[in-house]
Amino acid sequence: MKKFFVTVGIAAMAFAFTACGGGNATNSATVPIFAADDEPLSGNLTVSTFDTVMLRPFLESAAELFTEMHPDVTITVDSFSAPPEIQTIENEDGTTMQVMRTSEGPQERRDYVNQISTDLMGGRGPDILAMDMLPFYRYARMGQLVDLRPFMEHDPNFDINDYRANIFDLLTTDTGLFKFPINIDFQYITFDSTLFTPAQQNALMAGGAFTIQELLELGSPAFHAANEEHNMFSMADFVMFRHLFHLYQNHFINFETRTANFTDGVFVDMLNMIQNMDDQGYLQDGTFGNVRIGGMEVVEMDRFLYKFNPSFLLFQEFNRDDPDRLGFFMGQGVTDDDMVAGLLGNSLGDVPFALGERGGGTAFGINSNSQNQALAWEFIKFLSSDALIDLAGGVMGIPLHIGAFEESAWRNASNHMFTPRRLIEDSGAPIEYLELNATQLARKQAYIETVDGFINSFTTFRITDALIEEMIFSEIGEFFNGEISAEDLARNLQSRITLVLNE
Amino acid sequence: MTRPVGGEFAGLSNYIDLLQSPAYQLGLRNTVVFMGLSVPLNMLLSLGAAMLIKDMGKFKPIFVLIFLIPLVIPSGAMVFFWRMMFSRNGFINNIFDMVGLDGINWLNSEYAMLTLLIIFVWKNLGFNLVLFLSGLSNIPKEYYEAAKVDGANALYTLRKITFPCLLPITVIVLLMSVINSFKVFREVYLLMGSHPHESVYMLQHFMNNNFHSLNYPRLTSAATLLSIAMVVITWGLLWLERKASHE
Amino acid sequence: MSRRIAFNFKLVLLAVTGIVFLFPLVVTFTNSFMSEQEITLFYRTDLSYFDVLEGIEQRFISFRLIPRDFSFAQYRMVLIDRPMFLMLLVNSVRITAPVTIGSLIISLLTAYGFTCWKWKHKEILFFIYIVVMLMPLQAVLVPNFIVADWLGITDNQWAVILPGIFAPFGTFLLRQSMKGIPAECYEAARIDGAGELRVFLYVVMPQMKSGIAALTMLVFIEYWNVVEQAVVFLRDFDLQPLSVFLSRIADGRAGLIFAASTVYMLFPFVWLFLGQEHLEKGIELSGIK
Repeated sequence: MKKFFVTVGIAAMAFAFTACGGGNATNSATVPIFAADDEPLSGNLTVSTFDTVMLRPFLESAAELFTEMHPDVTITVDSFSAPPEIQTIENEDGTTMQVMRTSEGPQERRDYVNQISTDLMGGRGPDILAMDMLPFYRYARMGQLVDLRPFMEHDPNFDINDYRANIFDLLTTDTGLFKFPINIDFQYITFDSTLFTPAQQNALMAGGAFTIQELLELGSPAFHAANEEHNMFSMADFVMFRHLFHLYQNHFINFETRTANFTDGVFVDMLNMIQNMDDQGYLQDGTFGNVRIGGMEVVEMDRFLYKFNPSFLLFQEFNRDDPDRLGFFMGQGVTDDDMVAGLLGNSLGDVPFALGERGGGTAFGINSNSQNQALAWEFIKFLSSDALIDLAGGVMGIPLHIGAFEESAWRNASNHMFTPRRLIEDSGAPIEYLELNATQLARKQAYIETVDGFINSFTTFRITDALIEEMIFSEIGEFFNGEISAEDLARNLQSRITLVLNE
Repeated sequence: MTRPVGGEFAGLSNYIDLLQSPAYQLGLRNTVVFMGLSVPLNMLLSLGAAMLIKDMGKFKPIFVLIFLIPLVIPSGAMVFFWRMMFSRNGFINNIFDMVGLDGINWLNSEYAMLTLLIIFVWKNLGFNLVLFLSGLSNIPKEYYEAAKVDGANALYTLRKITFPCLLPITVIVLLMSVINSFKVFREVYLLMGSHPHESVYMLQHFMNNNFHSLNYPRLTSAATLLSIAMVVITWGLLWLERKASHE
Repeated sequence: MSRRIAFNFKLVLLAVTGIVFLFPLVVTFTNSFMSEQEITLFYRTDLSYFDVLEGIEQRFISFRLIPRDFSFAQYRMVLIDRPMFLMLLVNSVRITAPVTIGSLIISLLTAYGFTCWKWKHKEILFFIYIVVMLMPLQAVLVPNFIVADWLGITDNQWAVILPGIFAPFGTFLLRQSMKGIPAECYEAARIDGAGELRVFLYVVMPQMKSGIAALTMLVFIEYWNVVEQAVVFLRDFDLQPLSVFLSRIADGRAGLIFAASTVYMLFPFVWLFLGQEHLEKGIELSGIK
């Protein structure tokens, strides 16, 4: 009996200690301390990212430049560490090549999130976190990220108008702004002008965003007019699903109220619509993840009514007639007659954008545990500024700093894709080399206007949760392989995602 | 900010919140169900195997070795194999197909629990087997001989002699099985990810995921409740065992 | 006569069960001798172009027991071409060896204290040991991390090794074994004037062979297999053990998984083979209260 009481007593003590609460998740709204202008910056920073292919070299070069400017600062770039693999690839001529690759499978991603979470739990962790794989919205909810608004408001060296303010507005919630985006990536729609009548073309070029229904309405007569020889969309069913799901994600998943909404029939309707599109031949053939029937040659020579292209291809739409263009980024199929239509919107009038997943744009946040928040803020400003353009790897996505964006537009227009203007100036090249001629200027202007139009048309921000994405996109494969019905899939996803949201 | 040390006292609110959370309830239910199925199943099967093996004479060590091997094989090595067995196009469905039955979704449906049970029994049978074998061999032969002289049949011997003598060891087997049933998490995690089908989402998943979401209040509350449960179970088992050995 | 039949029946039943139990092991072993092409050919479930032509709608996986072309390619890849594999193996050893030896020493001493001495609150403390032993890993990982952070070892192997050395399971197992030693043995030695150390070394230890064998075996297996703690504490891949690598590889690179698994399994298997007898004795003794 005595034993029992003693153990219950110990349990009660443990109980009391663990009953510590969450307190309030917001940080105290003190005005951050900035270094005076004449004081040199000093301190140590660590920046962490999962991606080792693009982000890491970029960050390392940025760190180098920054520390040159501020010698008392050291910056360490951490990335996820996995054993590199040496793979043997066979070339077409039969020779073999050994390539070193770091693997990036789902387990590695889970392990990375694991490591960062553990660090954060110990009250440490990197000062700056890159958004590529981490669940930022969860961290923000737990108060683990610093609200950047005080920094933005009180820093005399920061002007929101150097950036695209509407994006920052869209990223700010009631509790604050926790991620600072440095570039943005999105998909835009093009159509093949040879396959549409002039009337249809006018409708497509009317501007604004298009819903998938509008695209189908305009495209269906064109499709039949071409005797159904060309696919309407340049993608397979599961890719179309990805686009549509993302478009309507806010209907299906509500991160604020932690509810999922897959069983009200909308999801099933969407799946059936995609299935229907496939049956009618609108979508490209391809089984989930496998060898496309027919092979790659078909893709290169074919025309498609509509294509969804990533934003880094956008400039190509304007310089088709340029003999000097650098043509190593190609769209799919025949692109000669493509014209830009607009962005994809949903039937509620929303045009969402995202950050953080591969190709969605890069953002950074500051760890609440960091002892060097002011310094971290300086570095983030630096990463997003026009100094960014000078760095290794060029630019990923469309820079949100307006000066940086104009620089990238200049580079595209002048065909000096990877050479910064400064370098050309320093090399003593003749002034004419730097100036754009009239055609190039026109192209640049058209490009800038289009991008401005696109970015200003975004209406909401879409949260990405890598875990949920992985769950949905692996299960969707079963649907498209015919292994599971739409209703069953909806039910499965409903229960699993509700679980994830509510743990 | 929520950190494991230095938080504010919030009384019982964490626990109330936890107990009301559907995820926790699901995890709790599944863990209890799994334990309730796996522990007796494992014990029965290993007891049966022990009774078969004990008379095998020179074959005995060979069979014991065979059943012990799964225990020493690391989980990571087997995951690929399990996937090949249990996936929709896997080996078992292959056999079903050949016989004309429909394939079963072993990994992502209500059947996932069954898959887990199979894997669990395969892995842990050997451990219990050895314990039972030793228990069986400790029963004095005289009891059996006396029973035979009295004309008892096999069933009677089983009920009156074997089972009572095995009681102390059964308690130990029970304890060990409970420990091992928690360890099944690793297989589930490697095979089905961090958020498996809702029929196999267990407390360990709940705690693991809260760890990743930095949700320390939830995690530690769940762990404390678990410790209390363990204390009660252990105490109960040891009391039972003391009572049994007094007989 | 009926005894004979009963015996044979039991034998057959056990043999069939045994084959089922051994099946995964055998498959892994034989498949490790297949060439990479054969494996990728065999373990795909995607339909290829040719399948569709022939109207096959679904492809199943069946295990190949005998490789078509016997080849050591996998082993060569695993052991020679990719030296990182050996590094991972060494890391596994670097974790497992200290844990095994350390936990042996600690558990022996602790079990001795519990068994051969009388002191107040002994039973309560042991009860707490049992409760802690029963806790699943997820509950224990967070406190481990806090302590490791406090000690400053969160990024090296000691964060995995130390909890292993001080785990209560060893004490539990050895205490049960030690209880089998009649108290008179060490009472007698004490009366004869032997100090505690002598009693421990010369009276108790020699009778612990089975227990020691069982413990080393079980601890070895558990830490050879360690995954969760290694992922949390060991960030750099040059510190990671093989078990972590294998947990990731299950996702797709079928080419060398069988050979990697076989080599990985070899170590515990050898241990089992050598120590089987002792293991059984040890497990038996842990059952005696």
